[in-house]
Amino acid sequence: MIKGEFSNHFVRTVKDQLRDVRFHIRRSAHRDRFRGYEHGSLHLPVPVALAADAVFSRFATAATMVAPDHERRSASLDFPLGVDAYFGGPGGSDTRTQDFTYEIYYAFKGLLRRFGAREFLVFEQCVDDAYTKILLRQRNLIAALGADSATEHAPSVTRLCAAVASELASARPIKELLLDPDAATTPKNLFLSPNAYCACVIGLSTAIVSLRPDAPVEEPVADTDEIIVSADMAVDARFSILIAALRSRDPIGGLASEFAAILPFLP
Amino acid sequence: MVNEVNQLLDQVPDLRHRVRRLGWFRESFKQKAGALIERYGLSLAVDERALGQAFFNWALAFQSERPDSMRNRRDFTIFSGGIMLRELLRAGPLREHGKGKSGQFIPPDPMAQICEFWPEGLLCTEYCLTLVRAILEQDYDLHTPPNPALGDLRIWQSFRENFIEDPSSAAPFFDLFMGQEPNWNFPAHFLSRPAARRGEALMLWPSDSPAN
Repeated sequence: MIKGEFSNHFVRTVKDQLRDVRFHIRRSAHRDRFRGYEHGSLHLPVPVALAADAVFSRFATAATMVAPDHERRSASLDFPLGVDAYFGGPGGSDTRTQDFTYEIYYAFKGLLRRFGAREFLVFEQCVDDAYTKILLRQRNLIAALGADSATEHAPSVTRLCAAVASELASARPIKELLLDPDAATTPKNLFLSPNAYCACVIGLSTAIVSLRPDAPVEEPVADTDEIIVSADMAVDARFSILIAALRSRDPIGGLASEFAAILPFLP
Repeated sequence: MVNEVNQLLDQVPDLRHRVRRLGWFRESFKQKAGALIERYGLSLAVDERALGQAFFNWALAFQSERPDSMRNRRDFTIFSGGIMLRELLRAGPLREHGKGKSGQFIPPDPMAQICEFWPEGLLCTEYCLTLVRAILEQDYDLHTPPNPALGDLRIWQSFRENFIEDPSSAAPFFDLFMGQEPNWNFPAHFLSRPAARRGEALMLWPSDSPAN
């Protein structure tokens, strides 16, 4: 009954606002722990910050209970998966098994943790906005999915993955990020544009899985870690080209062409 | 340990395709470099991101020259090894890390003085030589004995000096170590290699398509 009163959009917005408050509380606590007192900035002592964070965490949990995907919250993250899993099966029929917004939101968070981010704020609604735009603007590519095997449609699958990266980068879901500049795991290019960097890693990882012959669509492949590491290294090595493509008049075409050039050398 | 790693690389099936995958390249480089670092007591560690940079620079250069590989596929294998050496040395995936062994613990190896002179150069060259020799043996049943130039410190001094001035010179030095006629004039272009020009007749061979 409660579900019917909230649109998904509204619930995600509420969750994002609660995340925003929690992020600022945690950041304040971090300042206290790592840098000491800072003049002219909001400053909470660690115990107060932790207590406040706990209260907002409960609010966030309550908001999550009315979200349609709350029952899958404890499930492990399924990333990366092939494009079929997010956009439907043969002939564009609605056989998708995964919630793009949910999975990609957690993929962003997982990547940022992997890169050694101390604190971050990612908005789920921005990921959903990107998804809506892909559905609207890439109808033809989505309709062509699964008509035959992915390898036969490599150019259109690659282009759809480039569209995923491009729309995610322009939706800018990463709103705040505290990085340790000395962390060994942090790619230097992440500092230049965290949204573009993570979006490209997500798009390229999805392309790797989509174009692997006989890759299972509904389950993550066994060597998930190798796929993400390879995509990360490829994006890091080719970031100047990828960011130039994202800023060009045809970002999807530019990204698709770069993805196509490097995919033969990835897992 | 070094010989064990070489034997492992020799036994990898379909090596020429395996090396074109980032994951396999990373692991094999770390294995080979690790064995040499241990043998010579070097204070070096592998920087994975620089290694990735080297790999993609090599991969794209390889891809752009590949359509002409049919002129002489065997020579294209050696050329690809030289380009890989160039990109490895340019990206510099070996970084100073901690303290190495002192002189008395380094084995009395003829290569030890070269290792002391330019450890990064020796490690990267050894890796590329091992790969190319293994591929030549697998695909062409061609055994290439170690070239005496490899143990000549003066050649290594010249190599490093030339590389600093022009990184492309890594490819002709690699030819020299492989016992091939080096292409000093246009080292980045496969078609300007003497063996590629001589191998034009191979285009007439019906099944000889570009290196796949």
